[in-house]
Amino acid sequence: MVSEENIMGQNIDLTVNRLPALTWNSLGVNQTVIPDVLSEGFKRITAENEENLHKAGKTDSELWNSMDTIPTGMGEDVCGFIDKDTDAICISSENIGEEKIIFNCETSGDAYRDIKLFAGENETLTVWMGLKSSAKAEGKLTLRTKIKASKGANIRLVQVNLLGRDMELVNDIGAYCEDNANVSVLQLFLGGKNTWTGLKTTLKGDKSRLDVDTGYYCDNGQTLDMNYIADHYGKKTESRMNANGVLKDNTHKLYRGTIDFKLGASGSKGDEAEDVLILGDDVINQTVPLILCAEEDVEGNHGATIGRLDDDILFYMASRGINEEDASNLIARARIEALAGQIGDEELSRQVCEYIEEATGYGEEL
Amino acid sequence: MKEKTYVEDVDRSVYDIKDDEKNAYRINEGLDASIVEKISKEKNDPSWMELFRLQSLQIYNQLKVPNWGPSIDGLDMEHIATYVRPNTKMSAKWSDVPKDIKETFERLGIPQAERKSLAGVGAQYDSELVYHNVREEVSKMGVVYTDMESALKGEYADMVKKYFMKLVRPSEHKFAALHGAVWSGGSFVYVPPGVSVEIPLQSYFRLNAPGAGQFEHTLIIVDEGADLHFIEGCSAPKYNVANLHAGCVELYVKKNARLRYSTIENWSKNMYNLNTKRALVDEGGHMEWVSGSFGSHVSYLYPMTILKGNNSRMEFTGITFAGKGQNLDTGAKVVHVGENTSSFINTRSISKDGGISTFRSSVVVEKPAKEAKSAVSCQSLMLDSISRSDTVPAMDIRTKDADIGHEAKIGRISDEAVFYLMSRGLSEEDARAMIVSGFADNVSKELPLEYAVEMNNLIQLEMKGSIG
Repeated sequence: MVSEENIMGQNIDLTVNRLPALTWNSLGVNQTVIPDVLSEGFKRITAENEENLHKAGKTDSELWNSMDTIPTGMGEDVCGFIDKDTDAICISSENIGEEKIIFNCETSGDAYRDIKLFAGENETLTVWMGLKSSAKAEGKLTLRTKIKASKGANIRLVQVNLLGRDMELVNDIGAYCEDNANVSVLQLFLGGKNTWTGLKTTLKGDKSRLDVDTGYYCDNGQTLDMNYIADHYGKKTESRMNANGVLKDNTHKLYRGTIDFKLGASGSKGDEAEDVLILGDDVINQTVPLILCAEEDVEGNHGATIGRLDDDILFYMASRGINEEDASNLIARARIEALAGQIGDEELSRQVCEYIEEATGYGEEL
Repeated sequence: MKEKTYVEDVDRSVYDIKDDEKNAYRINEGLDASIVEKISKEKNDPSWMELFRLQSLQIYNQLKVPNWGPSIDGLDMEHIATYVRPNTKMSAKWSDVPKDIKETFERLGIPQAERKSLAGVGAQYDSELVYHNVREEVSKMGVVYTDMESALKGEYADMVKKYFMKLVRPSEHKFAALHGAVWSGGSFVYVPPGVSVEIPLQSYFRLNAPGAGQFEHTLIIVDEGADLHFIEGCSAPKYNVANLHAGCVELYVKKNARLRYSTIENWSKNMYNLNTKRALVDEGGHMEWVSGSFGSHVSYLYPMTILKGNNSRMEFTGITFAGKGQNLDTGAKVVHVGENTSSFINTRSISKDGGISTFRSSVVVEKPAKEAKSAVSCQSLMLDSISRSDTVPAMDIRTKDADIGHEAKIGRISDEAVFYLMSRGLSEEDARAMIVSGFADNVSKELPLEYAVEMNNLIQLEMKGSIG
């Protein structure tokens, strides 16, 4: 746990993304240590469009403070110090149904921000979060997002990481669902040097639901460390977690996904799947999909497909004059663009498409 | 409804019959250098082995118990006797085995199985083998099947020294180190190049003494182009004190050889089963594991295969049945090193009556393992909500030229399936038992008939009284 005095500029290591059920230590997947998270100059970042955000007032501080107890995917080390912050960006469905928050790290340095999203009964809230930086900026951007969906509410969070190659991202999310509430999260991890991300969703209410779609494209030494947890408490709760990504040269990706059926979560269902396309050398791909089950009347499924392009696809492409390298890039681009099409914000979708076109070396001519 | 005959025929008490302890020697409980030295002296070890044991003890004292998996807090090494020698010498004739021990093995069906369907049998009682025999025609082919102590000192001493605990090193984990320090008994098998042993060899391990540990070592070398099926069975009567099994199995599958290693584990429910099994497969070799885990209070069991040679492959087929008071953590590990290697892990697990079943696996594909293929399938059945079932698989892939697939399912017995069977005249209990037997079919169809019947009987037995 990070203590208050640690916030005052000491460099410390954070232990994050701990697996809910540990396995062999030699695999190196039980948890991850992020070195030097709190360096000198660690400061609260202001959103690029902060002045125009429809932030909730502090009149309902009891609600916003209560959200501090929602557990997150990365764990207590990240929560520990951000809880001390008193100036979170609080977005409520009572003020607005849609909001876009852009964090742009224009200068070097470590920065953090606390975000809270709330939707009242039967209300809907969609929040897009774009993460950018100048090409030369260096540092860690640490974001913690707490989500609370009241009865029958729908909250959708879209995050797009387009940070520069010298930036690192620590992205911690915790969500809580009451009866019939839905939380859906779409994440695209493209930029940055190293990314650590975690999402824990507490499906407390009956018939609550979680949907997660994650897309990633890692190349040139990037690392991506993920921890997704769906805790099913309520009856007839559902979770679906899909990850779809591409790994190119000299990259390291670790995906942890856990469906945890607690006693009493009868009639619940959980599905998780990861599809990894490995296109480069010196790649480390680690996948740890857990199902933990203390309830008889549930259905849990997970699947993973890891490897290269299917021979049938390569043959099809070759018969149309597209060689293996071009075919690989085309498929990689298609995977990301399929998710970009679901973003629902034209500007962010366009930025994702531009990024992936540049990364794969393909423009509109194909 | 009248129960089927084969259900009525099963009586769990066959495993629970306790013989009076008539040991020739039982070492003091606990573990220190003096105890290890005493065991070494009792067994008349060569000097290198005594040194090996003492070095292993040092490693044991340095290593911690795992921070993952089921709790082993109930295991107190200060109350475990690590060596118990029965009051007999090893014999090649059942008639020379003391009456009470012989009767125990007869109840377990070992001599009958030997006559009917086995090429050789080794029977271990507590810390030592009491019977070992191999059919003449098999030994004439050059197949060596003997107890580890004889191998350690006889014609194959150099081979044993070359391979002993080189695949599973004492530094692997605390209980591998414990095994290195106090191992006793077990079998040594060598199948010469090109020899195909048509019918299986079997070792049966029986732990009778309460508060004791069994630490047998199995070393099998299947040479180039040879073929062997080895069956391992284990059981013990239930006591109120903890017993410990920390065996070690090292298997070497040479170029183009094939080894099938089948285990039906039915230790008593006071047993801590902390067993380590590992196979090293050379070019073109084929390793097959068939594993049924039914007994033990706590199990840590993950047979591991290293596919070192190009074109080598492995298959693991397993079932785990965790009932009341059991926490069975089982699965498999595979490491792909050679090119064009393949692995297939197919498991089923069943939890009922408060039992905890965990499927744990790791698939590692190293960078040189181009064209590697791996598929893992695990299915878990929850029979009530006081039980628990977890799946904890991990994959670590380091080459782009691989095809890796994984799927897992957890669920309950379908109401529709039970309704269908009941509409055809089965009771709910029988319908559920039949579905569970079918669920376990992946393992039973891989076993020789006699063992498949025994396994199905065990499942039927576990399922009795599971309704209401």
